[in-house]
Amino acid sequence: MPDLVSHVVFAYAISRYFTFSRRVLFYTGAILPDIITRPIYILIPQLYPYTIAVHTPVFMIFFTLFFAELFEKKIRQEARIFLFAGVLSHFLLDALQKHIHAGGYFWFFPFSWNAGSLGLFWPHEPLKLIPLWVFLILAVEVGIFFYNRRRKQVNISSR
Amino acid sequence: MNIKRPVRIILYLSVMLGLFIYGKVKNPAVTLQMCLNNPQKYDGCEIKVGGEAKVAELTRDGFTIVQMGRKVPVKGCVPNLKPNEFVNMWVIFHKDGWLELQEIYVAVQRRSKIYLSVLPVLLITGLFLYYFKFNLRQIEICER
Repeated sequence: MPDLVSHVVFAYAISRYFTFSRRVLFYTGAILPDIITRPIYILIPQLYPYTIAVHTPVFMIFFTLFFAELFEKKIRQEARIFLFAGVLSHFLLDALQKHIHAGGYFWFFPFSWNAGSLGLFWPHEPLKLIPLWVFLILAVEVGIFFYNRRRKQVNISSR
Repeated sequence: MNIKRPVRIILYLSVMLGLFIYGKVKNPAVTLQMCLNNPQKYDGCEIKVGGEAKVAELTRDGFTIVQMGRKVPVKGCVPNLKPNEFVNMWVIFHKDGWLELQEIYVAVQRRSKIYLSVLPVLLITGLFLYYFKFNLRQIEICER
């Protein structure tokens, strides 16, 4: 898996124009597959075999449906959509990374035990790019802030 | 409270539990622990070793890894390998309890990756709590 900063940056790039509360759901979805598996087997490696099913699209569909049920009715459907879209963004990024012996994640579990990935980068490689991503996000946010402020000033002066 | 909601929650939890058990029971992969528990049966078997395997020490013809408290010698040279590094390997298991290295990925900076990954979790938890709150009476998450 790439680190969670890279997952959130990727989710940010996709969801920049959603309303902020929906972006929070999207970001939550983007880190869900890792936060419900990694801490378990990092702390207790013996439990690793039990977590294999969890980091799969089918399991995450049901987890997202379950998690969305915890939301109040008026936002439940949106919670389902945004959480699962975030989960998809997570899997999209995971699918790009390399594994030894052409391995990967079990994308078709429980229907198949075939694993695979596109093999574009090793899991540690996105770490090097984090300063660049942080810089770009700050640049975009500062740029949008000044653009909006200028537009507001132009609107006020033209009235 | 709508009765359909607890039914759906129980349904989702049951399916997840089923997948969880199926994933453990039906996984065809042979693990290092299985090999160590039954060396005769898995002699010559090609396996993937991951699952928090760490380099314990370097030896003349390779190195030793430790996984789940068990030390296993690995034959095969890897340049610049250091003790305490996490590794993922494709190896051949031998019944005498050693591994023949075929392919290795040294997970450099894995600890940095783990520590760094805590930051977005804290940030998103903070944002989540800023935009949503938990209503204990209704047992549901509401927008603030």
